[in-house]
Amino acid sequence: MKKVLGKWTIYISLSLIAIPFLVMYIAFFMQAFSKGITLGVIPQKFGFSNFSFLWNPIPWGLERTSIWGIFLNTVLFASISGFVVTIVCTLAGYALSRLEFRGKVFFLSLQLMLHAITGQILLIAIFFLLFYTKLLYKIPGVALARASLEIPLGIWMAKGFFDTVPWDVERAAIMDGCTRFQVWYMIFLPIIKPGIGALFIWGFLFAWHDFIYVYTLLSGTVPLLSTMLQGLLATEVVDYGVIAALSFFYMLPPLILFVFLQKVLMKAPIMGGKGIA
Amino acid sequence: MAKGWLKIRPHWFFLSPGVLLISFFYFIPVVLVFVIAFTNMDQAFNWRFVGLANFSRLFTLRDPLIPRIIKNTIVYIVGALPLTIIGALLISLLTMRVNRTASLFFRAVFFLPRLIPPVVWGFLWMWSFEGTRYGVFNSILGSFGLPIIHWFIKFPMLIVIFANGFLGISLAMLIFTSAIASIPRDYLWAAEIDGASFWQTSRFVIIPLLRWPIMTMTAWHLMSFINSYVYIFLITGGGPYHATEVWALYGYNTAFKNYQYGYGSSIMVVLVVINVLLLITLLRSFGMKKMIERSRIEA
Amino acid sequence: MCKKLTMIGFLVVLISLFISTVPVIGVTIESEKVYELTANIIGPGPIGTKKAENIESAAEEINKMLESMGSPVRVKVSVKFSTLKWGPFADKFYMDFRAGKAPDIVNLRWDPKLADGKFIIPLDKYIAMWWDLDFYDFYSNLWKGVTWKNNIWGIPNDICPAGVWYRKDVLRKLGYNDEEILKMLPSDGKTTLNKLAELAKKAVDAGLVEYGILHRPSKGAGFYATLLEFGVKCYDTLTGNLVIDEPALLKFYKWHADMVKEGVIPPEPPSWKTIHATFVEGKTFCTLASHVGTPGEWKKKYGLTDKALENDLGFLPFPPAVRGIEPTSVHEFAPYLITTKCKHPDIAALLIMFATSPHACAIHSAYTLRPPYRGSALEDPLIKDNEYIQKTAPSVRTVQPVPVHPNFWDYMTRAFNALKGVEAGIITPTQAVDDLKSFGTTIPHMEFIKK
Repeated sequence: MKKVLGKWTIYISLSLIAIPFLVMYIAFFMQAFSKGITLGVIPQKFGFSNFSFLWNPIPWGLERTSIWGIFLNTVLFASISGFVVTIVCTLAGYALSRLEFRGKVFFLSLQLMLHAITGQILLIAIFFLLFYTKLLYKIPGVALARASLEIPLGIWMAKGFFDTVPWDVERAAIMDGCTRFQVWYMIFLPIIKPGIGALFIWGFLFAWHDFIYVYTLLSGTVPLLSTMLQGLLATEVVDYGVIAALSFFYMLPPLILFVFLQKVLMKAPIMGGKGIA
Repeated sequence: MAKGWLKIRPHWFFLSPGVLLISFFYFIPVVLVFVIAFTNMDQAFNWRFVGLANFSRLFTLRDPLIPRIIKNTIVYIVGALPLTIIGALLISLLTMRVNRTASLFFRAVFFLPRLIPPVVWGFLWMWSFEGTRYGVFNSILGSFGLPIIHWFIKFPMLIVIFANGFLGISLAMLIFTSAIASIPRDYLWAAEIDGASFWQTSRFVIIPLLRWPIMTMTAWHLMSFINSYVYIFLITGGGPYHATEVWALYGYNTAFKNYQYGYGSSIMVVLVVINVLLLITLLRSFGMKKMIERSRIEA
Repeated sequence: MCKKLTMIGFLVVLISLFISTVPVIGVTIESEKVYELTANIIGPGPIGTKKAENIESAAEEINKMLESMGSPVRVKVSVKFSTLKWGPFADKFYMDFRAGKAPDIVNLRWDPKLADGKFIIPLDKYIAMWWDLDFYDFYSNLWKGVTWKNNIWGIPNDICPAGVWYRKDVLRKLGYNDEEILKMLPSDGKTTLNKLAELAKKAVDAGLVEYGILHRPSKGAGFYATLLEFGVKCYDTLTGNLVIDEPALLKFYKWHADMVKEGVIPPEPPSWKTIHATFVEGKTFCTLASHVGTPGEWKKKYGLTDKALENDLGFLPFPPAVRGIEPTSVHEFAPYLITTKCKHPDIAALLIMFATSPHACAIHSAYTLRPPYRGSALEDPLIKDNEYIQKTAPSVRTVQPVPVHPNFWDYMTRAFNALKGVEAGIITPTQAVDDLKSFGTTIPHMEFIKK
């Protein structure tokens, strides 16, 4: 009897914490797919009318904007960031996993420190750095800056992937006279393919989600989905239904990618914990 | 020549892209932020060195907002950090005790914030707590005939703490649940056979075993709450009247909203110094070397 | 009339092209030369779209004249119209400017920082040159608002004298007849803000409305006008310095704190959408956030009917809140400006001149219901019979510009944020004044009026 009661307390307390969030999620979902909601969560007219931005341009900012141009900008931005993270981290991860050199421990701990600091507090300096190097307000420059934020932890992830590969594989190749680069390129990369995919998605996702870098370094000149959404919200051009629908559209690609990412990430040991998403 | 070099010092080749990017986007900016802090850089990008003017404004409290900002920062961290760690522990312990489907469901609900982009998460909170009859919670109150509540005026800091705390929870919960899952079942059974209640098992068996993840997560989130301001920026922008403006956000707003880049940099410089000091202490107490060795062994 | 204008225009084109582009014409006499210009025009919101279209039709008109002259020269202008609000639009302009993408013509909330920071060029040359042809009948008080350091920097194109709108139907429900209403709230503003607040309180207490009085959710002319009505001196016209007037500011903040306590003003200012929607619905008794031309927006976006505008809405300038103050109406400027990045300022100026012609002015006026900024536009057939515009047109003659000072809007931002803090109950009125005082010490030459 006591045990049953205990079980129910657990369910009830969990639900109590979850309910406000559920209300928020459901209201959001209903708002996106209906004309309006009453009672917080009950939709009035179910339909896709809020999604008309997919085929009609949105009157916003300086002209009527097509969602697809902005979508492509965002894809470009996130892809560059993903590529940079992948290449830089697979290179560095290999060295840190397989090569012995002075300052390795220092390098690794430095990465953790950098990750903890986060570039956000250096944003003013990065703004001027990009301005004086003529990279400000341009997708590649800002994507590079954004990618560098994920590199410290990405290097740790990549090291984790290389650590899982047995030493024998590489020993044989080196005996055959391969250079380190050949070993890396021809032997390791094919083995850790899923890891490479994960690194790319990692870099891609964070850039896709990013707001403050894009807003500060790119916003007025090149809109991405995140800054466009914030702009629509701040300028009250459209109503909440459209904002919710647009948010939904914006969230969908990362959600799909995440399903893939988590399969790989959960296998990789990072920082003694198990996967950080 | 180049090939020979690659043979003797191969790590240089592999590390150089990373080192380059990191120097460019971490080390140079750190130097630059110190430099800008000594100028009066403005909207039109005109500047000259002004010596310690920015810092004297900051430290002699000639800026009346500083005490308020410091108070906000402390309240924010003192609120959000325990919320994150205790909340995540609680949720991971509770979800451990319910059946599989329910546990998956609840974990999904609490993990979702991490998958929602900042702008959308910000919109969700802004809209839910909007102080008119169009806000989610107000429209629920309204349909019961209750008067609307101006949430952002009554509890601005609380909303910000919860919005950030539950983001922290989603990460910490993930770490804690996987750590709990790796605890050998025998320990828990043994405790159960001895007649230990849920709370006793948690308190005396599980939590001591989770010491390492709890410590890392606390350190991690401490840094994150000190440094990140994106969600506050999106939800309240620091308002109403600086009630939720924390140190990092104040630096950002000073630079990019008021166009006082020099003064904003001096605010950020303080943060950089705090970060370095904090990191040194944390690394000392954690034993960095041990941490790195650890992950190697596990692999 | 129209023919005369064409003649003038013809002459102007001839003169201007002669003056400015002699070498260019010399080279391109056989081949075609197209001058390409860009313009960024702000609404804000969709209502100001004619400001952009007028520039496009200006280019067409000029080209037509050039064609009839047999000149191979053409003007091409690409106009971008923005519905962004003032702040984000200005931010975008500064960003574009730094990125080297500044337009030739821009339409911004006027701020002397633009001149000091060398973002725009002075226009005195053109105004003097074309004064008799074109600029002679702009209301003379408007030029004061765009003058800074003895130069004129912009051309007026959109005037919105801010004032108070209230709902007569709410008052009728409270039992007042139309005569009593006009006596209490005469359209010349000779009443008091407290009278308005008293009526608002009655309406709220009777459950007739959701909000008693709403003010702007951001700084702006309407906010400045309210400050003036409390006798707050923000700007010293003699010395040209900003002023912090402690006793008057304290009164201003205290009044708002009291109004929040009484439920007349909500503790957080609702968004524009809510302000407009609830006022048109009749759920708000009075708004300090609007201006003479706002009904244009209400009609287009919020479904206001002509009948309701005629019968149920009343307008007056900001009434005084303390003794010895006159009712005022204030407007802020978003003039056409020419940026320093413009390669052909003469042609840009010509475009602006055509885009502010009496007919262009009438087009804008007819679309937005905002009063014209030049006298002769009132005779244009487009608005000649528009009763509302003809009735409200004189309001432009007496409207005051906001002070021209590079730190004025910074000051207003601080003062407005402090107002929000007071209304939210986060700071007391005294704290609000203290915070403003210490802000004042960071502004050079700020003057203080002590208690």
